[in-house]
Amino acid sequence: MAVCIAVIAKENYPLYIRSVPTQNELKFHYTVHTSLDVVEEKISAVGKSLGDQRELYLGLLYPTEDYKLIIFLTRHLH
Amino acid sequence: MAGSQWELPPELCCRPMAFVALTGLDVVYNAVHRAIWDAFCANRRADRVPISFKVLPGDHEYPKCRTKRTSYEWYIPKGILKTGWMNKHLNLVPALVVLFYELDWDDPQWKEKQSECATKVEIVRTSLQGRNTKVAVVLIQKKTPLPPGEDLVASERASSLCNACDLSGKSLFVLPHTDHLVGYIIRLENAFYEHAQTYYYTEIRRVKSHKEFLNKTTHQLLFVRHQFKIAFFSELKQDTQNALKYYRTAYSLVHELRAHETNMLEIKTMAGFINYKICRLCFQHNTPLDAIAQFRKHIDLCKKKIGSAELAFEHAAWMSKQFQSFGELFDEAIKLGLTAIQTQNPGFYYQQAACYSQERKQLLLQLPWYDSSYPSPDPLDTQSGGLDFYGQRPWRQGHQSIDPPDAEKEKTGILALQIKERDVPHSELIIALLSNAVAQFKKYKCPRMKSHLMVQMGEEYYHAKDYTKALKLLDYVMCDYRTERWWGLLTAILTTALRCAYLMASVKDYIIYCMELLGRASTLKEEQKGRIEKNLLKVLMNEVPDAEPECDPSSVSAARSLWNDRVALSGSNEFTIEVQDYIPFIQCKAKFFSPSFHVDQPIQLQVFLRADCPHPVTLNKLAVSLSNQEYNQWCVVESSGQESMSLIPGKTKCYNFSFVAKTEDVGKKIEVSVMLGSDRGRCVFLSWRGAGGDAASNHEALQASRSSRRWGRGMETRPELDWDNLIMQHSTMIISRVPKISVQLSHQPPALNNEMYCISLTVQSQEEGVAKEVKLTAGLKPGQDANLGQTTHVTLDGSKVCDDTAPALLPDVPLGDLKPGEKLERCVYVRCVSTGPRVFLFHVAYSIDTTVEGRQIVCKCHKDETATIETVVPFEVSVKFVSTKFEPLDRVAVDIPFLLMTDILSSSPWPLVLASSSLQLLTMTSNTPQLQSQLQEVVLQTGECASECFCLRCPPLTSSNNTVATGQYLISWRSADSPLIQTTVTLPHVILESVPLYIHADLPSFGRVRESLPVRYHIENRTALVQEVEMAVEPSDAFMFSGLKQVRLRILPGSEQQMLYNYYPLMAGYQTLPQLNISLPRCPTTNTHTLRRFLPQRIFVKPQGRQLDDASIAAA
Repeated sequence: MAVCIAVIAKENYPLYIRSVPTQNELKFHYTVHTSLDVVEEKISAVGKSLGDQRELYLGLLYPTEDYKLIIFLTRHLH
Repeated sequence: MAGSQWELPPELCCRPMAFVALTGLDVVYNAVHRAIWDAFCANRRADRVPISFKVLPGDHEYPKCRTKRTSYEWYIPKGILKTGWMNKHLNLVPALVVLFYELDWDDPQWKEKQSECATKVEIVRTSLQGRNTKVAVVLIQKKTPLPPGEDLVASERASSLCNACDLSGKSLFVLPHTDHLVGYIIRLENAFYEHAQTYYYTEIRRVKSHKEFLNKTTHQLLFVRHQFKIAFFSELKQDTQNALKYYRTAYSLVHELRAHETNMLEIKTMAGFINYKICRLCFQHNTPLDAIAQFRKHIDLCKKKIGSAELAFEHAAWMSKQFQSFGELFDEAIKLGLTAIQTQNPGFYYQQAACYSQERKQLLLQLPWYDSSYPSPDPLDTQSGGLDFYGQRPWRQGHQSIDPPDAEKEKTGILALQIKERDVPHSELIIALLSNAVAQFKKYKCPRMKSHLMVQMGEEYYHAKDYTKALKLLDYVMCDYRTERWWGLLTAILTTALRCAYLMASVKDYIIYCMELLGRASTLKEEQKGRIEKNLLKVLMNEVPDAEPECDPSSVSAARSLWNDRVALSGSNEFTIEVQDYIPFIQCKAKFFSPSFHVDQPIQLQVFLRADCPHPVTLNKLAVSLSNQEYNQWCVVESSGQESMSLIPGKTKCYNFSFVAKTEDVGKKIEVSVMLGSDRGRCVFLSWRGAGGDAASNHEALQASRSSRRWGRGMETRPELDWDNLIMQHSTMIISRVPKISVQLSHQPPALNNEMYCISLTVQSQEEGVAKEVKLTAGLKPGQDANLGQTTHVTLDGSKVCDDTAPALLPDVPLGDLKPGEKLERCVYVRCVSTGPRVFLFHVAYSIDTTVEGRQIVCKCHKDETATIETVVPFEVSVKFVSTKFEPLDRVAVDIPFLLMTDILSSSPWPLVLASSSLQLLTMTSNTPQLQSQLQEVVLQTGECASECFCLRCPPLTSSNNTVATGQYLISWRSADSPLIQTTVTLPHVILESVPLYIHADLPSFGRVRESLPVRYHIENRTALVQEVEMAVEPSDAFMFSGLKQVRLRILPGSEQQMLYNYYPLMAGYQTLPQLNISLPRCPTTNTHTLRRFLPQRIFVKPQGRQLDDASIAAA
């Protein structure tokens, strides 16, 4: 079950973030924020090798103890 | 430390090595023995066999071997693994005991010593009764042994000793105590290692043999125990592949055990141990993914095995330890060369360990709190001081049934554990783990993870009541969240920080955090903001604020008294807070109306303020500080009695300032920074560097400009004062007043090199008043090629050619005053010594009185004009040396006349008047009595050429130098009506040569057919020797001649001989003269060829005149 959905601007700030109300909202915010480390690293690695042909679906980033993080990059969001 | 209960035992974490005991060595008093022992244990390099050596006395008592069980039928095991077992096999029961004994083969008391040795062996054997431990004997000998087979006594005595001691030949060694001790020791220990391997192999076989007696119902624990032991012995045998295999079997067996509340801890403890061993071996085998997979499996299997709810904190502690140990193993493997990645590094495990430690603390706090004292007698006390089996409860050791034997004991035991848990320094543990994780995430480029963990550390310090450290950490990471615009997280951190500041009664921090929590970046709800606003007002009134919610009540009362102390303090009530780096609840933007102002215009400045807090704010003072402090007095607003300065939330308020700049600030920048004061009980100044804005405003302005670009025209309908669209203008430039004069230049380029080039300048005033002290600065514009400064001369006097002392730039030439409309003209003369383009500057400055906003000021104005002028050469001068026969010369013969020819080619666009020319000779002398210029007053048009010819001679030189300077060619010229200019051309050097013999001929300029033509040859000897000359005249078709056809003569040094011939021309026209052949037998370098160049080759012969013509000529 999805517990949290976040849309992040390219400057890495949240445009939209909602999580199931029963749990600690702050914890999800932190989880999404910290995952940006990996996203940033992946984007820079992909950007280097493929230019514009980058794969948008980054897939499963890494499993945390309790959750799985799945990331999708968009081309334009403005 | 109280957490040590969860530490893994050291005997589990070490690398197992074969245990070999050395006896018979006196390492304290015997130097030889000491040396042997050192060779075994000191500086063991990694390539030596893995053995752990110990020196034991010869009569050492080894642990007694229990009698071997013959049947398992009635045996019910009491636990999985005894706590002493690993240590016993690592350090107490040797695989091999080596007896060292000093005995040479030729010892005189051989018999006695042999039997003493046998006795010692026997003592060791008795102590090891029942064990498979091998015994070996090493004879320490003084003599170097002979090669094997040569010493018959030795082999005989060796076998006799083996018999006496009941040893196999393979267990007797000789150690000669000679130079090569370490070499012998290495050979010895390799042999020991083999024995040890055999021992552990037999031990594995022995344990394996028990298996057939076991049954699955009663002996489940033994299945685990035996697999563990086999694996451990395999490790001692250094067979890590098999060890890993057996540990894996043991691991799955441990999870097959029937788990219930009473044995949960034992199962988890053993599972943790075995898991640790498996992961460790996987890392050692360089299969880190296997280690990670095993660990994940382990965690998945054990996560839910919480056990008794009252002791849930134990489970969390155990989980934390699992993650921590794995993190350490991972970290250790990295240090040995493993590469980790961003998403898989030890940091995650330390972080999770910290999480479980936090949970452990929470679980303890959630326990129902009875005010009970520690039970007596201590249920955790055991007779031996420790446990028999790993993971069991002290009050019911060996108990293996589902139900506890005694419910009361169980209760007191749990209570004792709970009370003990209270003494655990949880925060300390959590912070240590978090800081480990921070170090890892820093290494693996996870800045956000690092920040998050630092927030957690800060929070933990807060819980541990170390508010200073908490604030330090929170403050450090706050700006990361601020720049990344994660307002929710920033608000959460600020809330904790505010609590810390409150509990410490740190007034300034408290104000700063309040200001930001009230600001637009705060995600707090209105009522919370209202509460904070109220508190902030209280602090500003120098009152004690209300406590923050969720603070520990005891800390709150301590904080209250701190605040009361603060309030009572009279001083230090004034704060200045630099708000630029925060997002405060008052926003400020300042802008100058324009990026520059003329000094005769008033400078206009606007300061915009806006409040984001829930309720209106009242201010006392707004002060603007400008880079020139003198302007500050014009930019202050203070609230007076009637008119208070209050900001209504969401509304932009604008303050306008205007002041007159000082004339001395012309050319300077004025910068603004804003200070906002609100002084009541306590005075707080908010200060913005530059023109305001804060940590978030840059981004907001960017967003605003993006959206305005996107919506294009829609912008125009938006309200004028859109806060985000307000662009700050933090500085303005004061520039001089616009001049109202015209400056015109007139001249005719290009300029000629060296001429006095005239530029005429016209200045006309359009001012309404008198332009005073008009000054002209004219000349080369500064900032060009430095050489131009030396080759450009400017003067106002055009009547004569200026010299090199004239400057390149004439500064501040006073031109007097200019009345309105008045016109002024000046000529500036420029002399350019080198060619090429130059930029000339004409700067006319004056001062004028004006009025700005009723204030009289004297403005300095100036107007600049520039002109780029190209300088060209007026003419080209070319020079050549030719012989008297007009043949080009590459060298000049000494004391023989030659010609200097000059050409002046005009390249000037205007006519050039050549006034005169002259030669200034250095070494040469003129061959003609008076040198006269041949081009006096010649006018050259563009492209025309004027030539001159001079006959020169180079006198004999005393110096040996054969290159000499010729001199200079001076040309006086002018263009139009400018003064005369003298141009000097340095003539080229000539190469001299001296000739030993010079010959020249005297002959008429022409001949006539059939008329005698006398030719006299002069032959000069220029050497110091008598020269013999052979001379012959070759016959010619064109001439008959009389004179000596062939002659040989001698010429004295320095004298001359003349030869006269009468030539008689036979043909008209240019005729070649009869060739003269001359040779000098004494001077072979000079031949006919070299001499012939001095002689004329041809002569013009006129035809024979007719008589009639002569008569007519005569008649004419």
